[in-house]
Amino acid sequence: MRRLESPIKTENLTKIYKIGRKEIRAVDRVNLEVPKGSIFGLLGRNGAGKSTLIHILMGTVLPTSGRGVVLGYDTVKESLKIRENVGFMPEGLGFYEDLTAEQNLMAIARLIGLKKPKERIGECLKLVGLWEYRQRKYGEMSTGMKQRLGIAQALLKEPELLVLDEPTSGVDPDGAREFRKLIQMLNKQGRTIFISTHLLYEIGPLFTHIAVMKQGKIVVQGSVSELREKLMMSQSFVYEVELSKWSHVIVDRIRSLNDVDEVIIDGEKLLVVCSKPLAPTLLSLIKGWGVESFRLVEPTLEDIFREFSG
Amino acid sequence: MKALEIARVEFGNIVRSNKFLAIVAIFTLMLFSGLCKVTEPTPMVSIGATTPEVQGTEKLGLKVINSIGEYVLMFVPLVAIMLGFDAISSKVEKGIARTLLAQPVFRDHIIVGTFVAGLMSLIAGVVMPLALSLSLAVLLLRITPSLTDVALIITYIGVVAVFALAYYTLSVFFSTVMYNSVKSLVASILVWLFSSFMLPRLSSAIIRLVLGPPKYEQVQMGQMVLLKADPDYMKKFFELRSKILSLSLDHHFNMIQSQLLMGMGINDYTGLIVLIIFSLAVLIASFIVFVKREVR
Repeated sequence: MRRLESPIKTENLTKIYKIGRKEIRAVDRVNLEVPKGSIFGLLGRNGAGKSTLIHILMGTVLPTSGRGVVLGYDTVKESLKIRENVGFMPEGLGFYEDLTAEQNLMAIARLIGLKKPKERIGECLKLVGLWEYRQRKYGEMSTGMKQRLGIAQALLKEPELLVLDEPTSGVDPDGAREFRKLIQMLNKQGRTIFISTHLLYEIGPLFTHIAVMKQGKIVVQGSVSELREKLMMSQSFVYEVELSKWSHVIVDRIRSLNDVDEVIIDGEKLLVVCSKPLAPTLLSLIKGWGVESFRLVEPTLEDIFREFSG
Repeated sequence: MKALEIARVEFGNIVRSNKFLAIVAIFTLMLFSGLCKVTEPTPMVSIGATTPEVQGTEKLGLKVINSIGEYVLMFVPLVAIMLGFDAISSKVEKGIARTLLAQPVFRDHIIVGTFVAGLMSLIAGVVMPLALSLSLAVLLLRITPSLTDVALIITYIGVVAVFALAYYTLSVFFSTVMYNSVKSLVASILVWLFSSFMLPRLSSAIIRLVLGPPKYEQVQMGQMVLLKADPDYMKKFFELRSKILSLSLDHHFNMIQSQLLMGMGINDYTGLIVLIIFSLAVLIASFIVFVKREVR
């Protein structure tokens, strides 16, 4: 396998679907770079082009123009090599309903020519927490279990890159929590994990890097911390203030400060909105006024997503 | 090899399914009940035969075909459709195609694997009940087939398999084009209804529209005066009817079955060739449609 710093890299990747006379740009000049060892979130609303992009990366859909390289393999010329080495879980995947979890994985293992398939299947089933249910027919499994089996099939190849398309859709909160744990563990083992999702609250906290897709285009990409800073620089700074004792005098004092645009009373807390970060001297001054706690409210992943996806 | 691996899994999944088991059980029972007709005594004895029973035994092969022919014509297309209507569409609907395509396989492997598994399940679903019901008949009805009977029955089973293949490939084609099992089932059933029931009746109406009403001439037979259709008209009628019915898969199977029932073997292979060419053409069309289409 070729070793690279960016397991996924694209250059002006474009996919145009022609429906009658109409042209739909599902993927529009996408330049993406996924750092090695990251948990990369491809975010976007439904229909933003995430799944199409993933299928192009996996070589199951041909791009109209541009180039994509996954693990050093060209997505058009070496698609089979990509799928030999990448653990891919497509959205809405399914298995044979009358076969058990183990039988289904055995079918995949034989298809990919796995050596010692039984041992590896056992490892994967244990890893995703399905070992006890290995004899259960796929048709009799819950949505969460089905998703876990999907991850198990992606892990069979022991891939260094995992690509998961909407892995938590239809999964209950417990299932989502288990999924987060699993992803963190797999990432700690050194795997790069590329996840597409529109459900931020479920797996958002996992991401080290993100790209936001809108109408086929990547509107922003980078590490989550970089993007947070970027967003904070472009927007107001909000401080959350808790007073040790409620006092209108203190509220008025804060309001009268030069750099403070607005003070919003939110229950027992104050939200202090400023156009630029407050100077340390000013902060220590405010703290001396009987303030219990004082913290800068950082934008969440949802704020970043909302800001860039419109 | 990858296609064969897919075929192996696919076949295992089909034969484990309740649908398949139900098809085999019902079809075997239907055929067996049809075969019971073999035990009916022959009302007329031809010259040379000693007793009706002897006559019946001598022509056992023909009696078998005669007794189950109707059932075969009616149920074999249905069995083939039931096995083929969701061959591709269910893979797409249930996400199995996506799972398979997430592995290092091409679409060609998936469709070839599906075909091979389908053909195996067709053999199991059509030929097995035929063989099973015949064995049951031999055992329970105490009928002893001669070597000639066995040869005739095996030939018949082969022809039935080809007939089933034609309907199977047709339903696989609908399944591939429509990507929807319900629509594929409806389309396959409609073609079967048209081919089996509607076209034979419609053909008479079409011919009447083309040739006009038949001309009759009076024929005196003793004291009775009978009306006899014009021979030229009837000749044209049958020629046109044959042409129209050539659109029906059932007609081609009927042609071969009639030859076998005459006890002279198959002399005219047209029907068989048409069924084989039709199956191959439809199979190739399904392959092209599936491979060209992007499953996402």
